Amino acid sequence: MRDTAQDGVAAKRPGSAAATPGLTEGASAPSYLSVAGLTKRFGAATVVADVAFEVAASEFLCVLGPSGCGKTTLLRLIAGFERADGGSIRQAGIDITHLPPEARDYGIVFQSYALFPNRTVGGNLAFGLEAVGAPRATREAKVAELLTLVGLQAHAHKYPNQLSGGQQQRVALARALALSPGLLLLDEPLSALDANVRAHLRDELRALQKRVGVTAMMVTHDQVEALSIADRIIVMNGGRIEQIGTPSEVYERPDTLFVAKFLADMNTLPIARADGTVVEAAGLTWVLERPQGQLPANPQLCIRPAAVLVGEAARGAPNGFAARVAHVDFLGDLVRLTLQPDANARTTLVADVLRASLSIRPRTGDMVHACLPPRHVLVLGGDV
Amino acid sequence: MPTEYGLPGTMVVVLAVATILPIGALLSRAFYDRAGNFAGAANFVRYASEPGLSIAAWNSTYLSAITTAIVLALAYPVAYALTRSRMPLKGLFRLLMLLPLLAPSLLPAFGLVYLFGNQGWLKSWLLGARLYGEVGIVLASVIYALPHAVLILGGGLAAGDARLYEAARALKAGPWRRFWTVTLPGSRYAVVSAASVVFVSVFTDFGIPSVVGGSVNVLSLDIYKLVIGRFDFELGAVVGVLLLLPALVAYGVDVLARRFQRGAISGKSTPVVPAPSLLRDTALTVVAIVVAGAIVAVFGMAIFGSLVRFWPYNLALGLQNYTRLLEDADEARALINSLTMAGSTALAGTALVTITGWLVARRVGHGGLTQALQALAMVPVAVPGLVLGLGYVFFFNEPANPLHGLQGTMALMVICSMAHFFTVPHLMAVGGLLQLDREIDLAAKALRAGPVATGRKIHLPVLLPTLIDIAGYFFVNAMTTVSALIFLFTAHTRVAAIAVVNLVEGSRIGQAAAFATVIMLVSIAAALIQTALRTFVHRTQPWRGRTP
Repeated sequence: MRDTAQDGVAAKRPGSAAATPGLTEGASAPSYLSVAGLTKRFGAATVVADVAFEVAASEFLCVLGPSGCGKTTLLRLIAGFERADGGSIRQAGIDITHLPPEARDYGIVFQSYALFPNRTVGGNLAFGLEAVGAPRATREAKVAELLTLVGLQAHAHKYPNQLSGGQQQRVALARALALSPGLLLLDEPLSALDANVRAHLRDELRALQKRVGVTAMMVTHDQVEALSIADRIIVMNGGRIEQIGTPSEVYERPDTLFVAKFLADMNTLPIARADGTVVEAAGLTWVLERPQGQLPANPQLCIRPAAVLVGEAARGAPNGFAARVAHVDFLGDLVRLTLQPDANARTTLVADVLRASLSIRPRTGDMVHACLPPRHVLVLGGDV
Repeated sequence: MPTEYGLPGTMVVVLAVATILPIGALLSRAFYDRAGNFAGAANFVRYASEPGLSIAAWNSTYLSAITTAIVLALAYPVAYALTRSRMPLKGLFRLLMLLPLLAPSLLPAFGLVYLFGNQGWLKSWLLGARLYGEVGIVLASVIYALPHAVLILGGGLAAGDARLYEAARALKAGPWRRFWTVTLPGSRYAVVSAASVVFVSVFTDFGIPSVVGGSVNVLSLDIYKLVIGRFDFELGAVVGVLLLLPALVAYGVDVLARRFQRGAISGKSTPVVPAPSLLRDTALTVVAIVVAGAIVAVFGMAIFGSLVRFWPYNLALGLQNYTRLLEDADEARALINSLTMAGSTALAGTALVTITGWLVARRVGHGGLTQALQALAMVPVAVPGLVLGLGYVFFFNEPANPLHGLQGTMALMVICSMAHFFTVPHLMAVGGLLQLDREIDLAAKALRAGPVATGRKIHLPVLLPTLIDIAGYFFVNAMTTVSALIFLFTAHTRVAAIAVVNLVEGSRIGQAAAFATVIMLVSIAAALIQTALRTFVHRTQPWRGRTP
């Protein structure tokens, strides 16, 4: 059991010769869920390809990726709704790869909530307890406890169609916890809700998971949701894991161009040449904070729009350049400037500037100073 | 695990015995001679060489084609009026249109006899033509088949998407252009479906030609005469094959049409709410009044005729036809038999489709077995009652068959009715259960509940109102069918619908009309009970409200 846990730590990543250990903080903690070499094919298509990762007990893990990346199939494999074509899944030291769903130890919240329409809130919560033959007194006590946990004491006798979306979501969550499972699986649990309810329930879900101490694995396509709720994030693409790391790791130090661009907007300038800390990209010369080793495939000089400095602060700074404002978008607190460097007017860069920090309102055609601070500049590659 | 193999396997065997094995027995009979030697096409050659027989195939074909054309021309505007207009009293019109579904096919034929027969009130309207023959068959068949077509076309038109009309209006399309470019293409599969259903039900109906067919021979009468009159089972089987062929073709066409239709309708269509239009609503109301009026007139005349003392000489009204029926021990027993048979079919059939629908819709059990189950469940709709009934005769008469003991029993008639009407209830059960998201079952599984517990606690309550409709469907159809049972009854198990045919053969039209009316009244009572039960069930299931 222990050796699997060690092997599984290294996540396979495309385009990276030396695989970095994906687990940095969790590596020392005992692993609760351990997935190794997991593969699932539908006909000729490999939907989950040789996926490996570890989840520590009480950790909140998010699986993030675009639709069709295999994240839901990964969840269904762990739930036992799909049969793995290869690899193994171990939970609490037990190999569960080939166990049927009802023999596994997890609770699940579906995107549709899948509440039993003909049962009250209490009836939904009691369903699993009935199935395992819990005596009536135990059932009633547990249902009351669950209702309190999600704050729905007043709604025990309502039917699902009498509840709001947020309330239904809470019932689904409480129901998933009814059998006190070791693992909580969440399949896009918030995506059916309105934006403001969604943000509120996101925090609530996170707080509840920490309070109950259950290990959680949530699938989502929403970057903000993943970044704000997860202890660690797995970014998937095309059935493979692109990167595993904490929210700040995947956001600030993405391993691949895909991860960088999927998490948030990113300026990319194709790199022609690199020599130590000097890089030639888009016809301009830039300096890096650390020397660049071997260039990855399809190398790009990357910087987040919010990291681009504009105005007096940029004058004389490293990687500074003069540019023409080609376009101005007002995004509320931020102003998005599309910049054309003087030296290469065919290239554009986007800079997000805090509106409050601007002394004058830039207009299309203005000439400005800008710079790409070297500590925010990344060299990334790989297919997007 | 019993739900993995045991239950679906048993259901596959039951459905195979009730459907494809008897049909197989009939098919093989058509290719063997009386001594049991393989005869190739010899039986077919013998059939074709008897001129009186082969003309029946042509008669059946062209009469069904004419009827189909007339029915579609009437049913389309009626269905359109019911779904896409602001015609007043829609509920009443819908009820009147669907009335013929509750009666044996012979009942409208009696109405026509009283209206246009040799002593009919409106005989002159036929401009010298005789009712008995082509005219009678077509007229009665139109009335008999109309509700089926209205139901199917209404379903197709109701599935229309308001957003398409809004898009068409935004693109400056006028009402006619919208009709030709949105409505008609959107309902073309329903038209194909309705046409195939009407064609087949007319092609294979036995009741109408036996009352108003006169000397015109059709296949459904031939198969009866060949089997019952001449004991020529080989030629009977040949006619059975001929009756089966168009049904199979129509079934294939219908399956294709439905497949295309499914692709055409998106899950999230917005229902069409018709805007007021005086011209359209007036025109459609006129059509609806004419069609509903014709149905009421024909049915009314049949009932009126059954109440008349001696048509057409003594028009005093009275219940003598009814009292004479109930005083006759044979006829009274036929009525009891009908109630027993239809009641048993409703109970057993509902129980059976609950299981098959559940296995198929919720994907319980081994995939291959449930697929086989679904395929077998679709067979009966493609098999005419006469063909199925004759297949039962061949299959269960065989002394080597371990089920030979069922021969001549009421139980076999129940099984045959159940099998004959199986497809629609099965699909109703599947449809009712598919309302539940698939994730519901996964959630139950994750909560450690087995399929049977989930079925009992979740699926069954959700399906309950549908089960009431299913029982009603089985009851009414078993009550009114003639064709599935005409080869299976004995003196002791004769049912009311067949008694009507026997009364016609004895030229006791008044009593026949009275008995057919009684059958219709029983069916109406069943439909009322069905509605009451549904309302009751809905009241006991408060969770069925709209989502807030």
